[in-house]
Amino acid sequence: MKTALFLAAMAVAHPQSGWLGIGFTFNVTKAPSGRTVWLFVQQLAPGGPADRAGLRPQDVITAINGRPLWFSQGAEALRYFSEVRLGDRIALKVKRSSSTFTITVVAGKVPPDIAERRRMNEAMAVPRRAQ
Amino acid sequence: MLLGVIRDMSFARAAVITVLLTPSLSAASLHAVGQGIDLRSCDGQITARRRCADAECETRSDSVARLSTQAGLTYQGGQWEIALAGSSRCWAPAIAIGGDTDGVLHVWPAAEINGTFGDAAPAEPLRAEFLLRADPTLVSSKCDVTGLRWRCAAPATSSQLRLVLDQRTPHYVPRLSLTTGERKDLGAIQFHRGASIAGVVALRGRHVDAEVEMTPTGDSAAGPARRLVLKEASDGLFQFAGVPPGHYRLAVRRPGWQMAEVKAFRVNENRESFLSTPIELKKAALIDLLITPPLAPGGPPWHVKLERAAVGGAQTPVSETEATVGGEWRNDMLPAGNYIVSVIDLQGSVFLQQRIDAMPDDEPRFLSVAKIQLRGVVRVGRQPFESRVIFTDMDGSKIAFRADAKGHFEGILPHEGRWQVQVRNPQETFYVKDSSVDVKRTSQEAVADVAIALPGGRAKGRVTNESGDPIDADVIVFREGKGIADAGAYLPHGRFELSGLEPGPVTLQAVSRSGESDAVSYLAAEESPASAELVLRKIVNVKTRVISEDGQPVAGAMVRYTAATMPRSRQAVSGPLGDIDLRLTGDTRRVFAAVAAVGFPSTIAMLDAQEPVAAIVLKTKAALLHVVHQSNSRWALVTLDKQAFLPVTSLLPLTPSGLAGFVDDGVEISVAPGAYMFCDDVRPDSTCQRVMLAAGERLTVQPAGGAKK
Repeated sequence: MKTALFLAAMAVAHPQSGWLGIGFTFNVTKAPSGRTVWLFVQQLAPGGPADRAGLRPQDVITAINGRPLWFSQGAEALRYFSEVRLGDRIALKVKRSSSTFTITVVAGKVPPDIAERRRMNEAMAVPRRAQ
Repeated sequence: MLLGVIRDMSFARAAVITVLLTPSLSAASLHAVGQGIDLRSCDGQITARRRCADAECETRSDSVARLSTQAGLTYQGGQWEIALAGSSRCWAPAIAIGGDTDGVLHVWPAAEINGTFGDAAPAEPLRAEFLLRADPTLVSSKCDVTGLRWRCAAPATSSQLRLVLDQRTPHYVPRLSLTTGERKDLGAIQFHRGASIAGVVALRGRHVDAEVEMTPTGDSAAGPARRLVLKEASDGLFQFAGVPPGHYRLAVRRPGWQMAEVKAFRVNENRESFLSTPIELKKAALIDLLITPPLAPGGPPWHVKLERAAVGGAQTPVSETEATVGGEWRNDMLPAGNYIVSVIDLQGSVFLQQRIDAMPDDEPRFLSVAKIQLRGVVRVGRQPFESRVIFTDMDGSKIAFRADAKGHFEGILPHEGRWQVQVRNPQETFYVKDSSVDVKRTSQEAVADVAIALPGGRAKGRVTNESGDPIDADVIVFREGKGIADAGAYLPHGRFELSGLEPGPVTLQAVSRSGESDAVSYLAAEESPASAELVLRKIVNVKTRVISEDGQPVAGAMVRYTAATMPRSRQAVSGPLGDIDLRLTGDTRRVFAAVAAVGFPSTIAMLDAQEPVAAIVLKTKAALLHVVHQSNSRWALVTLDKQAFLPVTSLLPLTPSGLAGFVDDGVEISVAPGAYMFCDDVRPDSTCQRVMLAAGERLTVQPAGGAKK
């Protein structure tokens, strides 16, 4: 189930903040055998850390650093990526069509425009519906 | 089991000290050291008992004076318990020697502590433990009990005392000072059954006053938090008695020092949990602010909101408290680090936001909140709009105003320049539109005037289910196929009202988690818009899979799909096992899908929507399809049955730079061989071309002109 598009790139520009440059959707597949969480790579920042590491749009991420995705919701995944530190090595288990492999992305520095966008988004949060 | 001399900073490891007794034929030496006493003045005897298995098999007595010689005493044949007995002038704790372990008996001038039990004399033995001040050494002594009275031999020195009875809460005397021969009466002491928590608060190794708070956590049903205020005389020693078993957390606070925490520990029944490590306090960082002007607009003091800025951008609220009427605000109990300080007024408007690196002993910081007078008007179309108007800037300022029934508002902004403005209805149940305005004064003293004009088109209507019952749903407004607004006022009984639309033709569609309506053509108008009736039809999830010709699941395939009964196309993505969910209205019989997957030519398929749905099989053989596109016209539509259509761009895969396949005059797509039909419109009388593509072939399709190979 796709819930929303998240730009994992968003993070306040703290000196130690890291950035992968991945735009993804959060998905959950529910089956009798259990619940599988996966991320669909929708966008990549051109020339960003994930792009340089070889991640591609339409890749499906199923595990991070050897651990199957544990996020209960998209916001949790976004938070994980936004708390990455500069220089962190993030090993992503990727399914691309019928192939499975691991891509290691080294977190880069958060571009200033990304940080500003995040701050603006937070400032402009709005109520969506009346009760 | 023997109790002896333990070199340790606390009582923590004193409860049970076990010396393993192993038979040995080797010899061990015993020496003695006088602690402020000449050993030759000691009366009494050094008694030694050798233990064989579980029985005492040999005893021996020597004068203390013999120990004062350089040679000391030698014990052979195993483990010996050594004690100083019958001495009125000297005191030493019992120790064990033997095997390969020599011993040193530390001897102090003797004193005595005594007292009474507050209630009946206990059956368990009473033990006194002394944590010596001069040299942090823990020594212990067994006590004699006669009726309700008890007495314990003690070293004549300064110490912390713990009196221990099994399964009872220990009793502490933080500062016990005894002189040679003194007999100190500690009075009546109650030893209650039950569990307790104790420990020491230290500051660079020194014991200090502080406040200790104990909070049950997790599965503890132990009632509210409890607090103790430690005085300096307590030597940093704290004890919570009568604690129900469970899990607890301790927090220690002291002005000017960081809060220290022991996050989780367990308390067992009738036992004391003594924290093995002293809780060390560290100097706190300080944020000391002086805000000018000292008061917020309208006269009340500013509020200061403090958030901890974590690495990665997450912010954790710390506090929100009022500054003084002089504009002063400080917090001197913070861990050093990065903080975000927001200066806000009573309405919650953020006038200034600043990131601060807080360190111990920081100098006061001067925060200057500039103020400029602002006056404005909000109109939606030609009408004034009573609203809440929110100005935000890139530095985190967020100022809210109320526009009255005439759309007028006024107030204070911290600076001129570009502001993002959001207009919400007074009840804040929806927002109308974001826009940005330039705030500029004609002179330093002038009032800045702003006019916020929003489109006045409105749409309204009602959403029901197929039985005519009102339903809550979101209403999406489309113009030329693109969603332009999905927010509005949602009223009781399924009614909705959307504002801030450009007047003119739009399409409305209601959607919810479980259903969606047809797309309904509508005219957004400023005056008296018509009421739309949107009927929600139930959506069902239909499962299928995307697989390769050899049956392998294909992950990450993008499937754009539609049906004759669907007002718009949808997109789904195949998961790690190629699984995919199609959201369809219940009456859908056939689904038309376009599939783009990495490593496969794009393909189209018609699926029978009645479950079980056959898997979508991706083939590896490819042909090249070139579809010419003329600017200012719609993309050609691809179909198989002239009932359900998708734009030809639905066949395009994603690349890092976006959809792949665009060429100067249209798109060029690697597709699976087979039959395709292209139409220029969804109308039944539209022009369509049917083409057959063979593997390896290249075919160009002109929208209104036929195909050529």
